[in-house]
Amino acid sequence: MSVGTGITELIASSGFGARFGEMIEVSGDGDAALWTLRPHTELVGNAMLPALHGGAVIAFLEIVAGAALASRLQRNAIPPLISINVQFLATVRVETLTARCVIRRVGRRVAATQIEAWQADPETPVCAAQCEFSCLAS
Amino acid sequence: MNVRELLTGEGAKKVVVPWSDALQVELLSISDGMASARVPYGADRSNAAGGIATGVVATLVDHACGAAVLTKLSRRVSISTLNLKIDHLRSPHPDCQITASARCCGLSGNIALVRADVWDRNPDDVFAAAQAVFSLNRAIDQ
Repeated sequence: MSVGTGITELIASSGFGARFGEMIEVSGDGDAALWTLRPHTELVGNAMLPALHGGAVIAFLEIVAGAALASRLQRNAIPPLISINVQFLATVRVETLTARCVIRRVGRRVAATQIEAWQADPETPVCAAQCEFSCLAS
Repeated sequence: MNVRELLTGEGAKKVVVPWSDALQVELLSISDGMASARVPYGADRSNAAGGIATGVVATLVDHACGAAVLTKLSRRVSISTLNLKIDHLRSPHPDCQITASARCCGLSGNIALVRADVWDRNPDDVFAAAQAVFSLNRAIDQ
């Protein structure tokens, strides 16, 4: 499977995805794919640290998880998010954030994914999330 | 501490939140333990179905929950989100603004618990619900 243009277009198929997806790149295939966020300064939440906004971090994680799942399901739309549970493990600096998504289960109605992201060291994630998506064709 | 002034005011004391500003998050009301905030509809904030995207909902919820925590603090302390869970019952209606109402349920030591509901047309018709834990960090020099 070739990632790149197909996934970029998939993410950009919504207005928010087009805006946010400009900062996201992907390399590799399937569960081995690495997703990179190169944050603009507008994503800052705490200007004193400075750190990325929690909401911007969540947006990145759920866009990546949704795109990874759409790719697995060979869908041309990102499935609707049912639930996301995010854990913030360290300050997310305004630097490149890299994520890896594992699709835990794909059922007929619901799919579950696990995603974590790091900055300097892949062994030290700065945030992680579990997401459930609706698999029903929309 | 005047939280409204901190979040919406001018000058050196204002808490600058660029990503909330970029998405046009607007603080509507602040009271003891409660905060509500709104995001107007915009094409650059929409999902494929034309409602506001879940990533924008997350930003609104994080912002409103953080504001609710600040109302409970007697001095200016930096806070950070430890965890946040958002459940989406349905997509918000197309072309519709969304509002989050957050309530800080309590503080204990350096931890604050917050719950939030998110609605579009009617406060009784909630389309997403969230719960978050914030950590209270060091005091900020006034």
